Amino acid sequence: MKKKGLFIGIGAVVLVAVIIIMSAVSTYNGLVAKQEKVQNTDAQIKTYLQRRADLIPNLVNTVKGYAAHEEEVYTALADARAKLNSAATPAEYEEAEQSFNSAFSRLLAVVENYPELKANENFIYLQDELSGSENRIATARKDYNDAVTEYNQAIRKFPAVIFAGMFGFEKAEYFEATPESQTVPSVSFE
Amino acid sequence: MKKVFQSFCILIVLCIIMSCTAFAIDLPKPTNEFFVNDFADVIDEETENDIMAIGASLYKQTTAQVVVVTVDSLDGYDVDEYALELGREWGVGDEDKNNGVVLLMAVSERKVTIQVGYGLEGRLTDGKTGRILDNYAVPYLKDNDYSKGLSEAYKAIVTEVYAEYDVTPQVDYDMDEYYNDDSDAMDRVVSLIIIVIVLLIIFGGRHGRRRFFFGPFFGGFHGGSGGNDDFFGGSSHSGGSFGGGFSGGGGSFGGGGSSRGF
Repeated sequence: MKKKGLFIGIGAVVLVAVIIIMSAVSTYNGLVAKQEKVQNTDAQIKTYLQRRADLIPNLVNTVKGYAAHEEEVYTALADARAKLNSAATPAEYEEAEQSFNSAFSRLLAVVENYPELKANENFIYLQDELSGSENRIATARKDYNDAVTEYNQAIRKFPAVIFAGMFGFEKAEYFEATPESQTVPSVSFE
Repeated sequence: MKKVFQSFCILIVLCIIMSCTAFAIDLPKPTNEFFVNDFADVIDEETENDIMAIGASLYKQTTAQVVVVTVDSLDGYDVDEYALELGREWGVGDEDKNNGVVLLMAVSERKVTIQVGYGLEGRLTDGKTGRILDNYAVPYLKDNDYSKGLSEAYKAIVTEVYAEYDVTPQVDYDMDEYYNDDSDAMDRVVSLIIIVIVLLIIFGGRHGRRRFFFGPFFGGFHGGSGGNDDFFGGSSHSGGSFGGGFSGGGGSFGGGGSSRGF
């Protein structure tokens, strides 16, 4: 009889241990997946920023055909694009994006003075590609923030909060639109 | 082991519940026709049937879903954003191929947009969708000929999708043949059975060996469900009638496409 009790005791301990380990494993895996999603969506934003920047040389060439003497604007855009390409830290990204947006606004202002340019098929095509990029960037940022919300909530919940501390899952930062980046040059036209 | 199995079942139920994501915009539910959702009631019936036939045929041949939606108002949202959320929530396009397209027109805002799923962005570039709107939709929409404008744009989109898949369109076919009349009702029956089984496992499991009877039954379900993309993903199963019709395949959108005012 004594032996039987011992077996039950050991069995119960093993069972509890198995449950704890399994829940730890699944919690950890869940956190990894959520963290991965945050990183993935963050990379997506950068891809789309790059995509938009890559459209600029084509756009500039088209605009140049009509407005050759606006050299200053083209140089500013080229500089901003170079900055965007070399940006590595979030702060650099933000700075590069701001100078890009301001140069881009100036380009759009130039375009306003050339009605024939606005009717140019190639220009319309590039405008669409650009506004499509804007939409993708906006969507990617929203997805990123959603992923961050999910992840940040997950690491604060019980029992994940214990494992999150143990395995060093840190809170992810939201993308917050700065006043400058909220005035993204709108690429709409009638 | 029983405990583990039970917690596993609870986990599955939780996952199912969690997968029902909420969106900020209060979006309409898709109609049973799915390819035509004329909420603003501005498309004539003949055109609706045409679009329906073309859309169903395209879907049958390529799994791509091109959807027309008209609304009275965007409730203050951006037309691109509205169409994007619509495409995502309805799951337009195949879940793996993300080959959905939403053609949305808002009557009071006088805006039209084409939003393209990830999988078709290569063919339907933003520039191309803009050109489709300029050439096929806007000239008619300007004159309030919504039926013509939307169906012309629809055909232009569909033509591009066919080209993407290198498939020759065969539009003359029996439409009824492709209505999945009973699968929708089947979905509901199967979901009900599964929920009952899961509940039985969770709450009835302690009465001995009953779960061994249900265990393999439950395990067998996953393999069989492969053919049905939107089992828990689509919103089409919430409410509504048991009748036939199409529904979204679970495709997603990233913001590709373009829009115009008219």
